[in-house]
Amino acid sequence: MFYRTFLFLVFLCALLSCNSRQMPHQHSFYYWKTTFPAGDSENIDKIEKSGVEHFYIRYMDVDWNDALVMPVPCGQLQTTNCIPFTRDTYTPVVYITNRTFEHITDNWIDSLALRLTQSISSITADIERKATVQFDSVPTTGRQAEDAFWDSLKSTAMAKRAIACTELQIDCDWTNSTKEKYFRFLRKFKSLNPGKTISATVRMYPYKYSQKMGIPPVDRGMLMCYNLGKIKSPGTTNSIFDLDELRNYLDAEKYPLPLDIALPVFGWQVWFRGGKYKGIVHNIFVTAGTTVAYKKTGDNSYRILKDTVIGSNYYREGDELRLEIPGEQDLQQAVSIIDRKIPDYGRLTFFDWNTTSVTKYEKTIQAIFNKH
Amino acid sequence: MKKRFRQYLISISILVLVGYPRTAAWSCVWDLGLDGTMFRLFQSSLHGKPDLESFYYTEHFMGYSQDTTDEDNHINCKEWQRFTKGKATEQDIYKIQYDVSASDFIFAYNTNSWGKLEDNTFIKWLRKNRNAMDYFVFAKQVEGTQYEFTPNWDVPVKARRTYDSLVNIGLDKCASRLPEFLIERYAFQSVKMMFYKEYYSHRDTDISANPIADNKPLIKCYETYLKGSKSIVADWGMLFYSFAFADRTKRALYLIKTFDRCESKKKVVYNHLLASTAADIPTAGLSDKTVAAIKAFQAIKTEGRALPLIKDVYYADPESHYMKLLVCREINKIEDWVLSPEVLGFTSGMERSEYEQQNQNSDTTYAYYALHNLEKDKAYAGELRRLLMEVVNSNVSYKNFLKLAIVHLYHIEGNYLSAGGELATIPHFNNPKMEMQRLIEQTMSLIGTQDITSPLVQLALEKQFAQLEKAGLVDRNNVKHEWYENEPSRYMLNELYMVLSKQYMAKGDMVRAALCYKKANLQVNEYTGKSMKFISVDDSDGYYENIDFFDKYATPRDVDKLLDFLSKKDYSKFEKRIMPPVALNKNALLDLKGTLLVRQGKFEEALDVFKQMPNDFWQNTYYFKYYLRKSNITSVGTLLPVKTGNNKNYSIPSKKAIMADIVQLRQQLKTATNAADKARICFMLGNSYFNISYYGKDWMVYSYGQSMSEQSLYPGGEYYGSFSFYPDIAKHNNAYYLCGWARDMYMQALVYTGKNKELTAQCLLMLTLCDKNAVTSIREQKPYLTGINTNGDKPPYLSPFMKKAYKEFAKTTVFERAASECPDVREYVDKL
Repeated sequence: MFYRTFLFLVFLCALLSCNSRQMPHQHSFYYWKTTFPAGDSENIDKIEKSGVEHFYIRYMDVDWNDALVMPVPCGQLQTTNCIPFTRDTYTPVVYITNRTFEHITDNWIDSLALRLTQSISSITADIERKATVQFDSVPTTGRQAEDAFWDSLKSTAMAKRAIACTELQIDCDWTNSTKEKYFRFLRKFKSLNPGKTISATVRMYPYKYSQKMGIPPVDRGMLMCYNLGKIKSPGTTNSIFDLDELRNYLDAEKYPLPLDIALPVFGWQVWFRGGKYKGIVHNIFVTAGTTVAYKKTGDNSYRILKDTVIGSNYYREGDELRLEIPGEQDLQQAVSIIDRKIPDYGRLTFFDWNTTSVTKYEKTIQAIFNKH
Repeated sequence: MKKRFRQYLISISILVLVGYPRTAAWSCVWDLGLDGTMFRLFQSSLHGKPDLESFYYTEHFMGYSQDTTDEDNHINCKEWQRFTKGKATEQDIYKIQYDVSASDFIFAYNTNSWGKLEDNTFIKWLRKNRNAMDYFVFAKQVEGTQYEFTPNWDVPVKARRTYDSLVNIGLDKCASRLPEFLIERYAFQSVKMMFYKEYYSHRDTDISANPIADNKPLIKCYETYLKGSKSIVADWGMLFYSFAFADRTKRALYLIKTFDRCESKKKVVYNHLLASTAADIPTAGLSDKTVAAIKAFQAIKTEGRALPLIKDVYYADPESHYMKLLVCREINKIEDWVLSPEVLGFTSGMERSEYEQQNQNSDTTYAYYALHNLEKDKAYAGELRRLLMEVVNSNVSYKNFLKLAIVHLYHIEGNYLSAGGELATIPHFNNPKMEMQRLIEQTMSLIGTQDITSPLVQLALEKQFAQLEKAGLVDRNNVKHEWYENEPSRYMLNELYMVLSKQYMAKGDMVRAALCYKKANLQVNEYTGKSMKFISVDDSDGYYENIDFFDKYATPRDVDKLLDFLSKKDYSKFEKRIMPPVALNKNALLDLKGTLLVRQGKFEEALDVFKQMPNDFWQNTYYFKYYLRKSNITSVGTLLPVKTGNNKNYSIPSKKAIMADIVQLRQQLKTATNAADKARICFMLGNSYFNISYYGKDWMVYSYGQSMSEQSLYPGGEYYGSFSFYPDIAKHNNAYYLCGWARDMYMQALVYTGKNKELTAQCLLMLTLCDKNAVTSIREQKPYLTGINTNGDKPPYLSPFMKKAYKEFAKTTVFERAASECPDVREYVDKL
């Protein structure tokens, strides 16, 4: 009796430990540019080396146009050279500005959902055509075995393509005042895309204060674990990514949506004059080899030493730049924290794919993907 | 005690949160665009060419054109009018061209029912001229299928098919025997369609940015039918011709020519062509005008100093029509770099700080760079002026414009005498804008060179302002301000009042300085109470707005002078001009005077002033009743876990009552004879001074705003809109932000506490709080003074007073209670 009980307990423990073992996370990346780089084989190589299995691809932005008094699409994706990024699974993403929902009328909410659905379908059709174009160009030979082989290959490819794009994502920094309209839009959008998983981005603030900010009526949320700090404050160390801020935000009740996670691998410079915020400078130039005269004044702060025009910015002597780039160790630690706080998250994603970031963070990305 | 302390913390938190929207009513949470931060007295439109309006160095850069002359469209209509040999009026042609939609026109044509257009002279003419009508129908069809550069929701699949057929029609017509006028127009439409067809055929690539190969059919069509033509359609067509070239410098060259030739394509070219690409255009063999246009384009694209490029334009083509625009832009830039900070305080208004507690290297403060940049920019103004003087001496046609520019630059440099000398050579103008600018310069000269405190000069000033008004300048506060309704230069009267205010300040006449400042009513980089108008909450009838200038800059004596001035029986015309429209509240001014005396530490005199005011003033006015507590000024409430101060609460909020208690304690201190009394009184005075500091419960004794309005706590980190005593941070920082007075009084108490361990411990705990507050303030101010903080959060400050309190007075009742009820003390003890 004792022996059977003992065996039962051992079995039970094994069962429980199996159930508590973490499911593997799919590894993904955001692609946020309007064009794809040339060089299919190099890109495929890089993607495989990085261990990326899925892409979130920005199809377009939607912004409010005061002159036309309607939301309009901007920066639409051009699909040339898309194959390396879409040959596996991918999720179309549309970014909608919050001010669109500040101005949009109820009539337009439904219309926007419809137009977006059509536009997304059109671009996806374009992508899918490119993915299977090689099969269209193969002529029939008349030889049964060969034709059957190509037909079979085509069927397999088409079957794979059928599940390449099963999710659509909407990205919007909604606020309390736009919550109702945005959620109504999401409901309509979801109803127009039956059979698709609809996801929405969730910033850390709505994650932590979900009662106040509401839960978007979608199937999944993408938790954006970045842009955590006050960018305009001269006392902030890194507004893109700060572990303490992340811990603080993650200290919240369980979010009532299945979540995927996004972490940053991008950076910028924040421009100050006399402690006053002047803007974000995406083109990082305070690096070795630059011709700009500057000196380092802190861990990641720099002072311009000479009046300089770069692009459309006129930097004055004395202006300061705060270089904000997520630390590699911080990223690794962040994933460990997330593992503890949100163990059942789905995809582990980085924002965003570009050669510079991927090269800089290559080892970190690989290490994180290998471990999680 | 523990509960009470927690309750206190909760109360404070609620107060901050509840007070947040109220203080938000005062604070600058609006987002100031360039409109509010740029100071400008040189008219951007003085160069006289409306088609370049989008490129003025103003807040409307690349925005709407205020002077929508619609120049190109009118040129087109005039060409049509000549083609009709005057049978159609320009107005009627314009209506059909631009006011009647494509679908309406085609419908009317197809049904032959023109409705209200029956009497249109152009329609009448078209109906008699078959070829022209055919063309017009064709053009309207093109218009109906055309898409702008920016694609919208509709995927133009249908449009692509239509483009093909339209292009074919167009090219056929070009090859026919039609009049040259119509052939050119068919060619233009064909060229346009060929561009769009290519654009939409290659949806995957933005061919306007990334050319694949030459669009040979388009190039051929343009070169065959439009090259060399002086028609406006040839100018328009050149835009599409530019985009037909794969070679970037060739395309850049034709884009510059397009920019040069027509108004309506300038913005498109500006958006598409980089200055660096324009710089790469080989100039060998190009005409002087084209070289000048290339350099001018680069100069327009330059945010920084463009003097070298302006020189290039001048040397290539001294009569280039870009010269005046570039001079206007450069002067407006210099005004922004020099005068915006000097007059309005934006961008770099920091003055060198007097206190140097943590700031050891003054040459690394931002104030150093602000001054340094100002000096450089004034020197640059001199460089530009010298170039213009060189140009004036040559035989250019726009000498008088240049002379005005030179005078203005002298004014910016502060060289009023030379400005006056140059001004004397400038005649009166018939051109209203030029005359307006001359009067503006004359006014600046008067302000800069004469003694404006003298009644005679004020009489001259009044005459000058009257002349300016006659010339068209208006006070923008008197106008219902419809954006773009009126020429913005007309509002420069307000800028002149501001210049006058600054000059009065320099002369020490704070009364007239304040009145001119209020008359100007410009947004400056300080909190002024004006922001209330931008936020839809109930403000306090502009209370602070009426006293803000004096609050920041005046002495109590200046308030007396203002009161005397306001009670005068007769005013000069000039004084009437600058008098505020609403009478200033005498009690508000008395309250201000008393407050200024408090800040000087002259409590007795402050009390004398408050005694002249009604008792219920602070109950019924402004926000005093919310921020002047009824609990006694000597009590620090739950900051200490024991009862402090006396029990006498105030029946109504009252600075008078508070000041009476403080004055009484000061008198008691003078007459106290034993150490115990002195210690007790010093401690109570320390509490009182703490309570009127930034961190105290009665901070409104000292200041008119706090919290959200304070730069250090504003979440966005925006500088302007703060209630901080900038630019007098040196004067007020110690008492108000650093708890200096309270600290001194507690230190004095310690001298007398002797064996009274409880009182000693209380003093030490309050000193700990003073210390912590001071360091917090210093750390928060530092980024604005010496540089942004990126070295991570410093470890929490540990006051030596806390260490002493623990080491020697841990067994006192107050410390034991604090150790369990006060989080800071508990944390310190727990860590040991």
